[in-house]
Amino acid sequence: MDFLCFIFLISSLWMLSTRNITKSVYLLIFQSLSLSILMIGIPMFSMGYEFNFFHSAIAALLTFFVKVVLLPLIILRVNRKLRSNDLVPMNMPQGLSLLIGIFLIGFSQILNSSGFFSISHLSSVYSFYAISSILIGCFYMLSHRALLCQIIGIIVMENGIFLYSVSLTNGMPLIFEFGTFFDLLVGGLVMGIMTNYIHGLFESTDTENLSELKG
Amino acid sequence: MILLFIVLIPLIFSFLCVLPKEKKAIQLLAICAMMISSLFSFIACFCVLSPGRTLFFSNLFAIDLLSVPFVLIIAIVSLICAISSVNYVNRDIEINEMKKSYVKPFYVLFLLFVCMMYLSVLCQNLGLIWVSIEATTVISALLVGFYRKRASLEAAWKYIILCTVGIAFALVGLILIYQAEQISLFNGVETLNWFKLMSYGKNLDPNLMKISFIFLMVGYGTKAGIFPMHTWLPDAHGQSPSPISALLSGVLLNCAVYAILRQHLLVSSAVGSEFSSNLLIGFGVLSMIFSVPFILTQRDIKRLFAYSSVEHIGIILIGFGLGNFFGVLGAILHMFNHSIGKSTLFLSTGSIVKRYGSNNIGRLKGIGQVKPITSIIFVCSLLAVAGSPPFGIFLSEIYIAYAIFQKFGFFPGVIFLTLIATVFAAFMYYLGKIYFSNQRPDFKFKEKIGLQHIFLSIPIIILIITGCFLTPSINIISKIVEYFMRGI
Repeated sequence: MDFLCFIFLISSLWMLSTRNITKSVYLLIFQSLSLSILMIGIPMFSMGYEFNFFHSAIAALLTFFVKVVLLPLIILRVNRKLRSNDLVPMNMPQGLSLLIGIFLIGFSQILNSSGFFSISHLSSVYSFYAISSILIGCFYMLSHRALLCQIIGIIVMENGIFLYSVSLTNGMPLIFEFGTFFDLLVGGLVMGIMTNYIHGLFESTDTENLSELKG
Repeated sequence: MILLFIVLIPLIFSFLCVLPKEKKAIQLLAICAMMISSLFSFIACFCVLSPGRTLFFSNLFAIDLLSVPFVLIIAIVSLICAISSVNYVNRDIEINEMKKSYVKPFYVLFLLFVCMMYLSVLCQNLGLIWVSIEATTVISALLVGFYRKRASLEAAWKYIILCTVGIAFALVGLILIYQAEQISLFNGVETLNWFKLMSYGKNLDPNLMKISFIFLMVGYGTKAGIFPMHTWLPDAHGQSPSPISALLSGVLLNCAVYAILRQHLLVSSAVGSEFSSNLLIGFGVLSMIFSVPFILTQRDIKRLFAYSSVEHIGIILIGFGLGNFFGVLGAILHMFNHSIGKSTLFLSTGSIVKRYGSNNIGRLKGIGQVKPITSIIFVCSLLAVAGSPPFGIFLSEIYIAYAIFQKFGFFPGVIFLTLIATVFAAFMYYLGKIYFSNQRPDFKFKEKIGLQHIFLSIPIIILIITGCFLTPSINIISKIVEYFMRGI
């Protein structure tokens, strides 16, 4: 489990240092793949909980189909269709972005091991990786200035939230899992369509162009 | 069963809308869908209000006294918007703003949007409320960017990104509530069912519940347009087609407020009402204060009304946060009146703005001469939203002001009244600029009274009735207020 969590974390950290969208999507696939195994692995090996194989297997399968197959496929397809330069503009040098990512991991560790988190039942064995991923996902959206990167950032963030949910509660109610994955899939699709429209009008996917509306 | 129909009818009709090729047939289907679902909504509300009980359907849907005002708001506003959209869409096609082929996707998305809003206020499962509110974001983002212009696509992108990130925070809040439920039940059957959670609210871990409320407040607050998470709101309201602006401002913001209120009651049952009430009041005050400068310096009329929505949501949160009889009464009435008034204002503004071809307040001159009938509806709804008597918003603001004087004393009450008076003055200034000014010479005096004017005057009549005849002694309203107060 620790090895999978390590892959989960490293793949998100690596994203911060790359400007290549295709490479980011492959890293996202790695992260989501490790998450889908963790979705079944964490409840299986956690103590004090009755393991519900059916529930965990469905959650893992949903993660696999939505986050490993469908969403990366949508992003790659849109990226290919736009035929834009694969290198995205960044708000800061790659090295600095990576450094801030490492700082965020350190911050997550401090937060997770704080007395407040353990007293309030907010931390578990794997919650550190989840909190790191949520923060890195947010930061990835800020540091990379392309529309597709914002979609990738949201998925990284949601991966972190799903890992947090499974590490804390061993999985949310099944109907809720279905709903969230469906929403995520449709949301990804809609964002993909919009990226297409925006590229058609602005001839770019740089978020700097989206600054007309003010006040 | 009736609850299932309310949700299913817009969904089924949205699929049916795909079939016909004629524009009129699609519009007729959309209006029929809204009429039938509104009728079922009224029946469901009556069934709840008259005996004061909660209606359940399986363990998914429920309508209680708290849901009633929200269901009524969706029923009335969506019906008005569906009817008014016919005229709006026809005019858009005439002036080549919308292609004929876009009519079908417009109404399909419109109906799906309404369906999700109904779902968000009729679910008894907190997880499903989250799912339906997130679904409204995805669907309405397409409607916000419907014109596919640079500004509308920018607004739609900002809207979907900000709300998706915001609502992700609400998801963390829900995970924490679920964790609290698991701990308190010692591995029993956990569901995230609101009614079950309320029944053992005192056993829920207080720390977890407090932290979860902060996350949920930030998450749903983003969707409700509360300061400082409101930044998507003026863009989206300003750029979307006017019937959609009306739905966003009149209904969607309230759906997010509904989700916040459910969590407020839950947290209150676990840790007492002080924590969540203070947060509601704090965010409410911030929203009121920070919307005022934007209202005073606004040049775009639709953005002006969007900032006014931020202010009104602030007032509603303060009312609910106060928690005393007049505060809650004022908040419920304010929510209802604001929804009706703001949607009418957006619809009439849409008609005027299309005639002038600009949203700029400086260019909208002499509307009384150019569109004499629509401008009367515009002026009435603007006065209503500004809080002028005899419209309902005046009364609800007075109730909330009275509740503030009761709970916090003289000084906070005066500040509240000052903020309201400032916004009122700003609205009167804009009204003078738009209505009492000379028209452009190239504009003709021509407007025939149509069916849309009659439909748009119905909400004005409702607002006058709520302003003149709704008193706290009316049994139905006091039942809802007492139901809410029992929870906190």
